[in-house]
Amino acid sequence: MDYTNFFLMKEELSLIGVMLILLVYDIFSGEKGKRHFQTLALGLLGLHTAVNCLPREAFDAFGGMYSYKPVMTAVKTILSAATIIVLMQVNNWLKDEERRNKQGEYIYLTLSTLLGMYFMISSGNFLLFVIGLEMASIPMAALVAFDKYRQTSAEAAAKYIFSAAFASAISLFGISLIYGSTGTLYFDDLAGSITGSPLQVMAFVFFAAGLFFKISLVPFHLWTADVYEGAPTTVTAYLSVVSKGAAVFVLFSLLTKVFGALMEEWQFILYALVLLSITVGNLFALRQKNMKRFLAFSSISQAGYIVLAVLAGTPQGLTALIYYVLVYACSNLAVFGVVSIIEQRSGKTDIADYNGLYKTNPRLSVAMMLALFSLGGIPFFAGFFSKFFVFMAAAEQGFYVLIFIALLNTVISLYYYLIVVKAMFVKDNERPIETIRSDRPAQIALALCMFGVLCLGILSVVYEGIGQLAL
Amino acid sequence: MQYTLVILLLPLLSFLLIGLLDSKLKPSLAGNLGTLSLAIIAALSYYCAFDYFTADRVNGVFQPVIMQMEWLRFSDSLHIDLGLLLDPISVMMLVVITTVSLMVHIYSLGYMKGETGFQRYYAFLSLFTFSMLGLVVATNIFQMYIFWELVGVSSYLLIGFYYTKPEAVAASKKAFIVTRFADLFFLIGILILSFYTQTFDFATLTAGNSNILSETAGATFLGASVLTWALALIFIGGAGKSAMFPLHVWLPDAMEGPTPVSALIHAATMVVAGVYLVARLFPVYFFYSPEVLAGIAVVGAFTSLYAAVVACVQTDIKRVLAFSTISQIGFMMVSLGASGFEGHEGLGYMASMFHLFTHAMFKALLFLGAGAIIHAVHSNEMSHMGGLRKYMPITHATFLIACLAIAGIFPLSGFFSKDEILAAVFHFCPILGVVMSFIAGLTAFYMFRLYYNIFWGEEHKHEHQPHEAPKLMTFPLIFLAAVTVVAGFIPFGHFVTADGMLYDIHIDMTVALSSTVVALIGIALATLMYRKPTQIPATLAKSSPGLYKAAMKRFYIDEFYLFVTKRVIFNCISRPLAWFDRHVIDATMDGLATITQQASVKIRGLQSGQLQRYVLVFLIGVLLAAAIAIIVYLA
Amino acid sequence: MDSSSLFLVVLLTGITLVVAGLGMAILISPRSFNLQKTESYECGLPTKGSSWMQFKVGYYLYAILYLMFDVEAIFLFPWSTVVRDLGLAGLFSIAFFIGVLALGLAYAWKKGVLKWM
Repeated sequence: MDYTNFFLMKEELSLIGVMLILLVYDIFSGEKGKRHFQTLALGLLGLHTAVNCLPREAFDAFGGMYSYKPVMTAVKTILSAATIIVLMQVNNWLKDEERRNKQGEYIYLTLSTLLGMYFMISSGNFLLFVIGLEMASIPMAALVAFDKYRQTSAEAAAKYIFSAAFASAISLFGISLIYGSTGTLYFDDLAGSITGSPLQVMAFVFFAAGLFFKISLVPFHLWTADVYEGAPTTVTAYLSVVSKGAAVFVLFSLLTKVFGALMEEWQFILYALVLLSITVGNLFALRQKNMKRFLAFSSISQAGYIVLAVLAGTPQGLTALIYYVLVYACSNLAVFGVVSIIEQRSGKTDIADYNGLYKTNPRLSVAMMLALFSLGGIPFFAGFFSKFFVFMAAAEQGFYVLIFIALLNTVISLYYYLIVVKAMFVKDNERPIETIRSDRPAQIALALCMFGVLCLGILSVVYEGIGQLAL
Repeated sequence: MQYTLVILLLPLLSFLLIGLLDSKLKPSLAGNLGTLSLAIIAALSYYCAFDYFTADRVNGVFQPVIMQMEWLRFSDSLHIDLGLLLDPISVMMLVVITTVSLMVHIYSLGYMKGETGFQRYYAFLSLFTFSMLGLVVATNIFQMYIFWELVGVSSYLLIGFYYTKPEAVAASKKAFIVTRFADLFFLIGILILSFYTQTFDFATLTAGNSNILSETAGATFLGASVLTWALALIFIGGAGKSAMFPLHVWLPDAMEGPTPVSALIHAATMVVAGVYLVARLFPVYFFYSPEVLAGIAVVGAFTSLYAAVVACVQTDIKRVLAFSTISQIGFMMVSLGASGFEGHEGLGYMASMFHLFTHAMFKALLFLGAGAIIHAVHSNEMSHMGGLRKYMPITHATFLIACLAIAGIFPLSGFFSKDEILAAVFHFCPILGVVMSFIAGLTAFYMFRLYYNIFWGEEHKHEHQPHEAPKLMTFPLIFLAAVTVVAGFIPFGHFVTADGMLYDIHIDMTVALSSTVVALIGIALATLMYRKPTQIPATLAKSSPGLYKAAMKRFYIDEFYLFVTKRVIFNCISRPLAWFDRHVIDATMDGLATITQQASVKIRGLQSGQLQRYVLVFLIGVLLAAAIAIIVYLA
Repeated sequence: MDSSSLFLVVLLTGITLVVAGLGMAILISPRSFNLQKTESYECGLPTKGSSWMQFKVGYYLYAILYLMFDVEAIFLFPWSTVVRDLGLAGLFSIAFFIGVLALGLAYAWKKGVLKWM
């Protein structure tokens, strides 16, 4: 038996290694050792990210079942870095009385989803792809249900798992139709076999719906708000950033690689979905009262912008997409970081609770403001550049009307992001949230995000580096 | 010459340090820190100038040193860089800025002592110095624009330093809005220029007869070439910063800021940014749109005349100086406009830069002197002064030197630079030369009117005895006075010329004599009228009340602006717009919100939390998408 | 008839049939609303209390653990038929597989799943 193929999957293997070490440690360490569990997890994951951050030559393994391209390193690194940030933010929350015994679970579940995404990204066959997809969604449902004694959390998990199962079913149905019409599931072979027939078009739409669900594009987004609201905040952060980022990248590579022949059709569909997502997401976000629901709709609209880069379908589009995911990760994780710190200490999640936050927690407010500015795309924050590059990529393909509408929508989005800023800085509150001392890891996480928000736009090296890999 | 990077970064560092620590820092420490960093970069700038100008010339020209990195890339040719460009004018500006800024830093240690926000003041000074240095060493026009705006911001912050005073707040707003308005044209100009030439780079733009520019000159818009439009728009930006008529209105009001700030920003550095901009792009102006250059000369001359006349009747000493600054910048602009390119033809360019240099020194000196006087009598009004020469000997002596310099009396520096300008202008157009000579006379007159009113004349009764300023404040005065005395003998043509070649200054005796005579007449008149209290000024004012009042009111330009903004823009544009905003846009938005509300009530079924519905919508979505895709496929 | 018009016909027929069926039902069916209809069980005994309550899942956990080793056994059968050809590497592979499963069991044990409550 030949192991060389296994060892080619360096990223996945090292992640599995990390998980096993953590599992063993968790089982055999005593009450004292538990205290260092999270530090160990962070350290190992950091090591894992560092070891795997250098791109390699492209290759296929297992006869094309697994295929690697240099750009995947960029995506995987971004995802695992984002996971590290999420785990830093979760530190204090996990040390609560009711969760202390479940620290390990949180971390393996998170890492399993990450592993699933890794497989999904590197898959060269629909079967591996589906396994990755499921591996990324089932532990995710468990994470959503992490506070299982809280009714909202359990409800959110039920909704998530049922919707996900439904989406998977539709997706699998699509894949079976593809197999039926072509006789293969390897991406490389499919690229030649899919030439376009009504059946294949339908198969494609059914299959893609599963990914649209993950990215939560309108009208496949209905689960988003309920799940985001009900899930523990850190899980929501993970769901909105990491899970979405992986799915968008996979969507891009599948559309351009496998379904290249159906370009006209998928461009049309994506066009409509982008339009709907940006607009509907914005319109709903405008009137949300709850911070997490608000962020859910904001993330739907952000997803629309990311998919705009998919629509471009060029290497430039891919670069813009990955860059957008990176910037979005920094900004959104910063916002969620602040929200989760506040929720942990005061239990408040309504936007109205944030009134007068600046008076009591100036640093958190400023961090939140900068991150929201970046999300809104205000010039010279990273978010501006990421939107700019996406628009550039789409403009090269001639989607001027869509870009125009997207630009109009950024104005709307600016409005509701500013509502939050206004609440924090301008409005008075008789009983503002008391001054919070956040824990060290959460502070570091927030600082890292702030660095990204402020510097990613100016460090053009990052964008150009991704561009090199995406060629 | 890597160390020049430090010149740029040190002020930024000190801004960040002082700005972030703010009140945690002891005031004296903040001041000393700022001054120390300035002293270091001043020394570095001198060394840099020495280094640069002693290097070998290649083909008779000092080679520019460019250090840059790519920042934003648009296409292969069009990208924005960040970097440093050292060439004769930017090196000269480095020296000017760091010198004046250092003097102002030292001076402010005394002048601003005990003010609240002392640390903030020093942080802003550092920020300003950083921005101004960044502006002059910019390698491309976009980088220049970025720093240009930063300069605007820091100027805004410094003018509004006394933010509890409503006048200061109003003045800072006015300065910001007027210059920002001009910058809009600047930006449009940059965009046009870069769109057609596919470059932002100064080096590429000014590299003689490059193809990109001649091709661009072919495209026309409304009868003038696109390049002409771009250059004219860029000049409007420069005119805003350099307070050229009719965009000068902010400068006199900007005097609400602390006096050292006026000396630094509104006399020596920022206000000459426009001149610097034109000088930077001079080859482009000269070769591709001489008509804009001629326009610059006319605007400069008119501004100069206008400001000189207004300066004759102002009573606030800082405002006199402000108008005098406007007038002198007019001189520089005229000189640039009248300049040719090669050899002797390029005299105007050289003279303009020379005057920029000398003017920075003596005008800063005048402002700092004025600051010392204001410090002593606690008033800006001339009528509250008089006879101060007994109490403030050092201020008196240095102020007199500066007045003589600006009037153009041999052998002070102003004489040389102004003489060169007049020679260039006479060469360009004799009538303009006569006008400029007349303005030079007016300059001598109003400066000595100021001088006599402050130091001679009737002594005003003071609540307490005026006294000489502390050493920290007199030292910069003495230093700048010394520079003013000797700067004229710098062989400026050896360093800065339009074509970069060596040029020997020789004094044109007819021009020199005539201008000296005119200046002496101006001084004599002022002596006659203001040395001792007489009735002559009042009589004169009475004899032509219209003119006097008009000049006093600065020819109603401010009122005109107020009319335009308040009456015309507010009533005819803003009101309808506000109406439109309230009744159409707001209504649409409200309507949209209502529709959203209604829609969300209607589609609450979707977000009802019922999973069955979610799945149903999902399914409908999939089927609809499939149907659409198939239709697209079949079409 | 080319494929596009055929598709349209099929599509329209499908939509018409569904809409017609549902529409007819809406039109002709009698409707009545009452409280009883909103209850979870329309017939039979009325429910009492909330359905959000905890119930014992002990057997359920055992079932999952059983399933885990069941799957292991399914893997072991095909492996055992080719174990000679795979050699030492095959032994290591299956050892790793069983090891991971055993870790899972150890984990469950540690969490107290095996203790009957």
